[in-house]
Amino acid sequence: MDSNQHSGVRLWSVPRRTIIAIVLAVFWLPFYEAIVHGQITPIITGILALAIGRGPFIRGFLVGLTAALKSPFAIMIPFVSISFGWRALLGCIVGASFALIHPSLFLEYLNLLANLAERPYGDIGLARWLGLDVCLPLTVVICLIVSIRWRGTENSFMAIIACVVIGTALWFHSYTPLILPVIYFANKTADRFWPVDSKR
Amino acid sequence: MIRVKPVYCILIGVLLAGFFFSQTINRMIYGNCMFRYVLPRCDYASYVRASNEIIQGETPYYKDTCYIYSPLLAIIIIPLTRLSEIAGFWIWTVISIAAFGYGAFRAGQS
Repeated sequence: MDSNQHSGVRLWSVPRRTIIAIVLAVFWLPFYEAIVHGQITPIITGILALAIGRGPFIRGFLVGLTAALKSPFAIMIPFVSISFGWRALLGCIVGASFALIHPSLFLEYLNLLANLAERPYGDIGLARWLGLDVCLPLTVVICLIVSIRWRGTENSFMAIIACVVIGTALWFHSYTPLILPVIYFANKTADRFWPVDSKR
Repeated sequence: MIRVKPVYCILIGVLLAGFFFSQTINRMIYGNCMFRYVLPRCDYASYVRASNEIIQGETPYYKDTCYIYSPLLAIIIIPLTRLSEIAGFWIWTVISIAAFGYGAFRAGQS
């Protein structure tokens, strides 16, 4: 942020990208719900943000770590691997292996997941309305398309995050990580239709 | 670049800080505000209960804990269980806000 004088009034020049990010983040209501409940989704958002712009292994590692913390993000692993190659897959495996830190409890966790799938969970979201039987295959197909279409680009990573979050969210706070693709694609759209910052 | 008067930035910052402060104080003193749940029922409390079970060598996966995450999360939370519930929740909230803010920043820069 730099400042200058304009018509006798001191002004701050803030990059448009920063303003878009701040405005969207401040009004991102799922984040407030996540904070209220002490949910882990804001931290998941931070971990996924760490992966932005990194090399394939680190990116895969962070996605794997996310999957180890919250199982729906395991859906990202094959598509991040398709998009960013075998190094990303290796990173995903290393990251996800942290879930095995306590093997016997992990087995209990898998049993719990099997039981959870039979119960109607959540209060909002496509998965709740369409049912997991429809929503999961749809998510997989769209993720496959974007991971091939935009292979190796930031677009594919953001689109995969968006698909997985929208396709698996069952609670309002589950949409917190969606802020990453929303800000990213909002900036891309703004750059396209309003190329003010293009000379930077 | 977009030019804005500093006073507007400062005003928005003060309003946001005031909002969070008032909501936090309301929650801590009265137990209600815009927040729907009081602390013992929130997700963070279930993480802490699961951590305590693991510390005692028990399984966190039974009905009373309401814990539906991998054991990794409960193990990561263990240091916070040494603190009081409110202090742990404060630290967890600060970490969450920082993580989300960082996420928004990185997404904005990419």
